[in-house]
Amino acid sequence: MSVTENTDVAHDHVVDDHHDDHPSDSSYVLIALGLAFLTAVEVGLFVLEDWIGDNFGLGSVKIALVALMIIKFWIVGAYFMHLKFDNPILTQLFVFGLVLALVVYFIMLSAFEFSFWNDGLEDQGLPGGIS
Amino acid sequence: MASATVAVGHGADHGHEEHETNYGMSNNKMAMWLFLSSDCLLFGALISTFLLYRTNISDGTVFTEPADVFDIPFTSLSSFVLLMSSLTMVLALSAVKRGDERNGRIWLLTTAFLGMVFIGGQVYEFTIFSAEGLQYSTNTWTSAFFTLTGFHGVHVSVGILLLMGTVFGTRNSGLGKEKSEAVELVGLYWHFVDIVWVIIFTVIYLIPIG
Amino acid sequence: MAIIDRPLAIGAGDDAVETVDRPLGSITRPQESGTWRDWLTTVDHKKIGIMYGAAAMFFFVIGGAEALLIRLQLATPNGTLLSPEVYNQVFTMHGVTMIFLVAMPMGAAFANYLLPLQIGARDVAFPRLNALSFWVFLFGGLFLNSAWLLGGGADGGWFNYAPNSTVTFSPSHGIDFYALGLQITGVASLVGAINLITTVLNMRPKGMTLMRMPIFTWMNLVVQFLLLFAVPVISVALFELTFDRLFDANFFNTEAGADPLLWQHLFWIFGHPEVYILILPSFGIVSEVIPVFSRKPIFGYSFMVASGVAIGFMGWGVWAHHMFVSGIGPISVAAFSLSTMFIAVPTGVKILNWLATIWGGKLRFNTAMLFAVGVVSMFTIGGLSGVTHSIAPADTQQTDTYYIVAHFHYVIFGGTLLGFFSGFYFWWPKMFGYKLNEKLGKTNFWLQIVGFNVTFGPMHILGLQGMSRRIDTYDAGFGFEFWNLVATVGAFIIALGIAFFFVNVAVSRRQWIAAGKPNPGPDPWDARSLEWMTASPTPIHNFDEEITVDAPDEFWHRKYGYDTEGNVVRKATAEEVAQDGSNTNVHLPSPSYFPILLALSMPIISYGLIYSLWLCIPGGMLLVYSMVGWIFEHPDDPNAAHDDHGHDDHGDAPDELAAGDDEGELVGVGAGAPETEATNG
Repeated sequence: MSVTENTDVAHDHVVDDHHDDHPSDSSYVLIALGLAFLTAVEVGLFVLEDWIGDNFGLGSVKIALVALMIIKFWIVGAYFMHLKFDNPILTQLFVFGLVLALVVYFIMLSAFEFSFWNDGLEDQGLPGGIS
Repeated sequence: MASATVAVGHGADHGHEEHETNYGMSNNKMAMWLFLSSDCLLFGALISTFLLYRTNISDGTVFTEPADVFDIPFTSLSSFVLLMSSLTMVLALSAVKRGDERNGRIWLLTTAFLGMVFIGGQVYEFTIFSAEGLQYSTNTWTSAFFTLTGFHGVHVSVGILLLMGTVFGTRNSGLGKEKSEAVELVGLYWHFVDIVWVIIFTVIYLIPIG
Repeated sequence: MAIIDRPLAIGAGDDAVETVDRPLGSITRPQESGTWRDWLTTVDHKKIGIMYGAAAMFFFVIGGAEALLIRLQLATPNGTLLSPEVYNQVFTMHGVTMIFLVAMPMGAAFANYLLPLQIGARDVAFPRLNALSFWVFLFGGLFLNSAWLLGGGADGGWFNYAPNSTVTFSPSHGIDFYALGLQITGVASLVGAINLITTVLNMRPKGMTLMRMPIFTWMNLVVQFLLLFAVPVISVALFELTFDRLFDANFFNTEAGADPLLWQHLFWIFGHPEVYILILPSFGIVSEVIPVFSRKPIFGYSFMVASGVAIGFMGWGVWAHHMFVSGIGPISVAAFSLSTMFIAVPTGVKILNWLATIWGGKLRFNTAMLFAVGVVSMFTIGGLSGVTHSIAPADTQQTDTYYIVAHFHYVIFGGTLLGFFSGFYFWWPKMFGYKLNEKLGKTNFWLQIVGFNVTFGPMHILGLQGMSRRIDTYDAGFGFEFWNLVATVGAFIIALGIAFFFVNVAVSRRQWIAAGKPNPGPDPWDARSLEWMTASPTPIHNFDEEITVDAPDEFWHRKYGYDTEGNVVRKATAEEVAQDGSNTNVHLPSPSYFPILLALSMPIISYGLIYSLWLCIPGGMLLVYSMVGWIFEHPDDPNAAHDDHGHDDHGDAPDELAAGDDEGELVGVGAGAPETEATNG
């Protein structure tokens, strides 16, 4: 198998049909180190927020955390689950489910924001809905 | 004619013959991705339920901010463990693919072990919560939290069983290159469980409310 | 995972010619024996399809009896046949049964039988998973209906809105049976969806591109995708309800601050795609039947496909129109009102294309065609009354009245069920080797269509007059008496019509046997798609050799061509083109006990959750046992009697082992995970 022969860094490869063209073990380790670093940054952001509050305005800590989450998700999907090297149909199938879930549940949670029940509950001093 | 005859039949349980299928991959692999795609909707619903109830924690318990509940350093550590188990999983697949059966088994067992460490951490976390008065039926927050993380934990546990099964079920027949697809599919499942945790860790544990 | 060495059959008492396949040393691999036992262990998609159909018919009779009870109760004011409590259970179980145990599995029956045939494949991608889907569905349905014998069924309407369905308001076990039963049938749908999508995407023969697939296959592909993504949503909702009821969770406990809309949102996010899950198989059937009996290709093939796919997409964006009066607020109402109006467009495209197919065709009004035309006309009525619901102010007036009942019966009975009957008459010779009697068939059709309109037409009026759904009776003097009586008479006309169908099956079969079982030939209707290119009834191996496809309606193009002036001329007879099914040199997947055993564990675990967790232990043990057995069992029994099976045809035994293992593991994940979750929750 070409896995051992292939010492290139993973992202040098373009999507192609040779799905044996996986990253080498050493690039896997590098990717994992990168993921660990991103996790450390996430925790650091959390500590920072806890410590000094979200003083950067516009919920920048939240945005940064979500961005880091998406990057980690993408790295694991593209390299560890080798979507980058497989037939695009697999990416399409998976992304379809993912995007559908995001859109549908986003609309659902938004709808709770507008619901009369929410207002009513807050008037009664009860916790209700997302804020 | 005989060869044509069999070509039709082949797809049935012989999907691994890549030149036979329309997308050049085995039926098993496509089915696994379809399952994972479907599972996105399952976790999406659980996470949405949690988000709906994430502020509903303050009823009579000592906690006012959900962030006060979590032990972030501890959970960060167990998240890190699960993330590294994805690394050992790809190393296992890589070893099996080049025919290195011994290392393949070692990495698979390492992956399973890291998974068990993660589950152990979750059990510990649940125990602490419970001792602090946050039980399953305490309020909507606890119900949503325990159900979401519990479902994820069950997924991890199923993954551990699959890993152990792969290692111990192949004692007689060997874990050669021809089994690499089985390992790959277990790996796909395992990585999926990992990325679900990437989301849960950020959305439930890290992102502040308000 | 590996194949352990199979133990020899020691003292098994049977012939013991070769090694007997005993994956766990305890169960002997079943062999084809030609008896009823074959049906329990079969992995043949055709037998599974027929069993799906038979089981759905069985539940159809139960659901129909419930419907007649409802109509008898409402025939006159202040009816006393059913108490209010029993009435609640009867109408709830009528809806649940008809949707989950009749319409969905009947769609699965047609899909199972026809999808592999229409794309020219030997079987589905995972034959054992296919058997699992059926048995899980059957046991789930029986579990759900066993509630009748154990204290009464669910009583909160088919959607069982929480918090009304929590223990406080519904203390009997009916809703536990509902939640767990639907969870089980959901597993069946999910496994089936993964299986059939893989089959259609990955197992088409040479030349069968996606845009050459028959419309029926296309519509079912859309349905399976809808199931793939909709089932997990209802699963989560049902888990939450189950945990609320059995383990005191607070998902729907409003006293603890729970939002009463959570259930409704989750249910209808599933529920609206579900509507298309119910109707699209029928659209597919109609799109096959109308071209054949109009002797014309389907008008606008690509538009038919695109509109079906569009319905599949848009079906995800309209769910809250079921919730216009639940307090979701004006912004949500406006948004969902708009999206609902738009979804009428692709459906309208379909209606127009069917009409354009009929237009100028050489029509033959066989029973199948009559039912198909019935679908087009009745569904149009139901679709139009559906559009009236998208206008929120009107819907506010109509919600929870018989107008809604009329609407969804026009789409589900007038669309889905009539479509299935069209499919019965159309594919019966292909499935069973004899045609159904046309005279009895037409009686069946006219009784059904007249009875249907007499029953549900007046409900529009009743609804607009203000008669509420789900009430067990009404007082005299509101003007409800006359139309209720008419509707009850209509319901019995429907029942008579359905009875004619069963009579037809029996009579036609007897006539066929008396006539010495004449074969209807491969192509009794001069049809267009690949399933007619093999013998009737379909031989066990489907096709003698792989078909290479050059065009949509491949079979028709092999029979007909064009002369120099562009006129259609016959090139060959169906018998010349079709395969005769004489090839015996075909290796088929072997039967297995494990699908039925695995399926059996699910209701056992569910009874355990309701009555005593101890029962979960044997259930869980059976689950684990059958999963492990499944994994270690080769999908193809190497010792099965395939006499002259040329092994050089696929001499890749080691790889076969690997493939089998993967399928086993997939089950461990796909079907196993939800159930494990259920027990661990």
